[in-house]
Amino acid sequence: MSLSVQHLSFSYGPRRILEDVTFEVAPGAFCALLGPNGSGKSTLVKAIAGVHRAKSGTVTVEGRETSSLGRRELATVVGYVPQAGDAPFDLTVREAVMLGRTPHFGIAPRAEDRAKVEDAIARMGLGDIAERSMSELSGGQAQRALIARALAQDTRVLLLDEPTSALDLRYQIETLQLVRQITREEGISALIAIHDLNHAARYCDQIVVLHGGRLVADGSPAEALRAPVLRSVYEVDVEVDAREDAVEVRPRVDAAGFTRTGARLAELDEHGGIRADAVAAVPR
Amino acid sequence: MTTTPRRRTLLGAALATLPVLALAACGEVTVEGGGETAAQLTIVDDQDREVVLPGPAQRAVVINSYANEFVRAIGAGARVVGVDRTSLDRLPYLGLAEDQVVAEGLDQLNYEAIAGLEPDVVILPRNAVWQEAVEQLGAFDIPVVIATAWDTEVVDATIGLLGEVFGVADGAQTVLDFRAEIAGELEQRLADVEPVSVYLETVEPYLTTLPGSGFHAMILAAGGTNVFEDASGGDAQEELTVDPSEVVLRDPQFVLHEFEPSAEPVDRFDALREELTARPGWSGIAAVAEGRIGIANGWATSALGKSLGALYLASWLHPAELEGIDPGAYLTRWVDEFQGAELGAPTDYVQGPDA
Amino acid sequence: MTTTLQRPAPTPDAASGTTGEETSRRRELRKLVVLAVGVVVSLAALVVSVTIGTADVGIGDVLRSVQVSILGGTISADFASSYAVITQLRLPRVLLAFAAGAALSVSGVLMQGVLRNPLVSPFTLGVSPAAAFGAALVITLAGTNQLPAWATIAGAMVMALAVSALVLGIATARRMAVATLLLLGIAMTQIFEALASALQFTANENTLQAIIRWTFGSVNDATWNDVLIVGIVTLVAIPVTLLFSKDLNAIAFAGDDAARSFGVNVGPVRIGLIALSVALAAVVVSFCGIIGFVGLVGPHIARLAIGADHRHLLPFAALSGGLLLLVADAVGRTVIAPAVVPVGIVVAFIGGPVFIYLILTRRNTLK
Repeated sequence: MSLSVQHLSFSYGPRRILEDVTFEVAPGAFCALLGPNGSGKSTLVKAIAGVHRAKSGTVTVEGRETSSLGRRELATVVGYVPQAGDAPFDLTVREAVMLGRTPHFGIAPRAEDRAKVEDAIARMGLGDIAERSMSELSGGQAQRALIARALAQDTRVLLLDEPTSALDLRYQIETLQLVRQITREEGISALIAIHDLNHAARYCDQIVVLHGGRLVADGSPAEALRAPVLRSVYEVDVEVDAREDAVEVRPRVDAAGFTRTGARLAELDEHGGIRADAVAAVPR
Repeated sequence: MTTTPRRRTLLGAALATLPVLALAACGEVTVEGGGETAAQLTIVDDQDREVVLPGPAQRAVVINSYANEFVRAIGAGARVVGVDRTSLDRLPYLGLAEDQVVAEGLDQLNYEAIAGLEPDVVILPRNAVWQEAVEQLGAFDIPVVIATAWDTEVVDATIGLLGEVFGVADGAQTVLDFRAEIAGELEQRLADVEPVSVYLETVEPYLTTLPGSGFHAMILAAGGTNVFEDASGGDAQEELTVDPSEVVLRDPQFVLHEFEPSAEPVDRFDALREELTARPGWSGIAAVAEGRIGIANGWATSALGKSLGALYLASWLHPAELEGIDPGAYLTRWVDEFQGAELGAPTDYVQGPDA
Repeated sequence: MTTTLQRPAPTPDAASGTTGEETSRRRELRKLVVLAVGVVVSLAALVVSVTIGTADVGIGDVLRSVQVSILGGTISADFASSYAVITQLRLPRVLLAFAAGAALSVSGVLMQGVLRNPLVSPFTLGVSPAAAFGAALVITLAGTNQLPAWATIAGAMVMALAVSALVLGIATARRMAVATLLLLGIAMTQIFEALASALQFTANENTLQAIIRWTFGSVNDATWNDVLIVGIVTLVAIPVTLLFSKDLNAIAFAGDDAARSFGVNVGPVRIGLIALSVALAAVVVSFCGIIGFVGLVGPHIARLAIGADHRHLLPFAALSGGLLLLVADAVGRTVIAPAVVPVGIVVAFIGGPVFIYLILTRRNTLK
């Protein structure tokens, strides 16, 4: 297994953020991490990346436990792509991608580092804008640059923390396709924290769902995305359309065009039908 | 191909300059035609430092306007070749040019300019950066003498010190005699008087002086008492800004306001008098209501360790006892004989209640 | 956009005919050239500023003085005065100005990188006023200004480190928001200026001048001892910062989380570099008094010339800061000669408008 997480728990002070999370991602697999806000997605990604040190449990990458690795060594094994943040200083794209080589060189980049950087730039199609300042780029271009940075880092596992949240539809799709291609061509495992259920279902091989710090689903899109689970996790009445080639999640509307959310989910019976004694829906 | 070796040489170069810097002090430097040994003159200055001068100073840089007044008074004024800005501003009669100003204040001395004037000695008050000056001027073998002319408690010692430095002992004695004359008159005439309470203000409104300051001593010498003699918390000059209402409460019998010294007459008398009487609540002070106010130019009243000021104040506090003494005549003597300047009229500088 | 993930052979860019690697290498070379030019200009400026001043001294005199002092020899009595002016007054002050400017500028770069904000400097965080107060306090308590150098440095450094710990502690609780940092800096500056005023109130004549002297920077009292201490501290600090330039790049440009993911030990590195930055500023304040703006403007000029990569920025900022203070001192010595305007005041006249310009042209709004 490329990435194996076993019984991972994490607390922030008295608050338990992650509780006994266990799952695995195969080499070359593209895994989506879903869950509502506050479910601990970001924390899980950071814990695997070594940004946070987990309280208990283990993370194993290609057979090696990450806790046994030094900071720098871990950085050569696991790459982390954060959400595009603010850049208080003017940095060219090339310089930004070079940051990814930080765990590899001592004081100054070597020829080998430059070569990897050019490689990553070319693969991400950033050649034309490599000398531009990062602050001049569009959202999509900036995200590509961050992915290029992670590629230059040359790791076996890629972790992406909601890279698509602020992007247009086009860039969301392109980013997902890009990562999928990387996993397929390099044999790199990727774990992406993401909001959009349908995008995850369309482009990812594996889906894990986090709810209140616990893993509640793990498997292929068809296996992991089931209506009852999703209803309790997201507190929205949804229906799952699992077809041959795709899985689609939609909010379910009743005859009056209303979707039950939150407390009104109690009006559904265990099969997902509307209970007889439920009050006639009044759109609110 | 990589930049690491290049930067290593940069680092190496940077570190290599260190021994070079150290070497910079290594060379033995001798000056041709080294200084002639002249008669040695050893004096002890205001900070108890023993200073060795080759002889009586013929060229001197004197910092501080009071020091310049003293140097001129003892008859060595022509030997001053460099002064500070304040001295030049306050005492235009010194007859010095702009390019002889070597310092704007007491802390940014232009050592190059001082060295360029080739003085035999530099005279600084103790509140100037004299430690720094001793070090910097030491490179030029220019001795520094600390003489604090503004300190009224050591005026006699300062005048004597300056007399030694310039080798004009009799000139110094004449000044001391003049001062003793004034002090003697005051002591004799005010032997048994009832002190009169005085509120003294210097330069800033409500900035008064406390025991330990020369002004306070001046009030006592004039047969008065300082209404704020019990106050504390003054700054380094024993001056304190007080609450206006405190002055009203203490009800002084005389009010004296001394403004910035200036040898050029400045006519602020009417304006100041009006401002004083118009202060809120101050009409409640009898002295203000009855016009027992004295306004003085600091150049006149703070001269000679405030001896003249004491004389003027005494003549206002105890007119009967001071019958026959004309403070204006003493001021004229000070200016004519000791400062070698032209005095317009004493009333251009000091105006008492009868003005 | 083409999703070109296959590894293409390095193809020359159609427009400029160079591959990415060549462009990259050329840029690197250009930066080194800029650095070299900076060194040359600095050396030239140093030599020229030794000839500036009220006493008439030419370059020939300067070279001769340097030669004589290193190799030994005799000088005529006429030359003795110029020699003393050059070796005891001008060279120390010029070198001290340069070293102090370099130290402050490097201090600014470190602080700006670690706090991810190009508008901070040792001055704006209240470190300089605190250091000045620390030195003044030591002098007041000792009752004399004839103290050994280490005593005032220690006072300055302790107070400066305490204040930065306080400011950073509070700011961390507010996630290092820009507004918090700057406001805290203002608060600290006001507090320590008030404390310094209070000290003046209680000082006697001996210590008063020494205390006032801290409130504005001056190199008028420069001695070789000062030059050696400040110079050595700066020369040692720069290579140390270069060792951490990679980490500083990661923290400054990618943020804490990403930097950690690159293997940077963010916590200790941040504390260490801040401590170094504060120490540099404290040493300068101990010898020269408060000099503002250099820690802010020096790095900015350097970034414009050589880019934000700290490997090049740090040495170049040292040069730009040194040059700035050198020029300020030369101006201060000549503009109303023979009076000397303290270097701290001159640099404020230059630096103030530049700072305002920086604020106006900032691309990102202050978040």
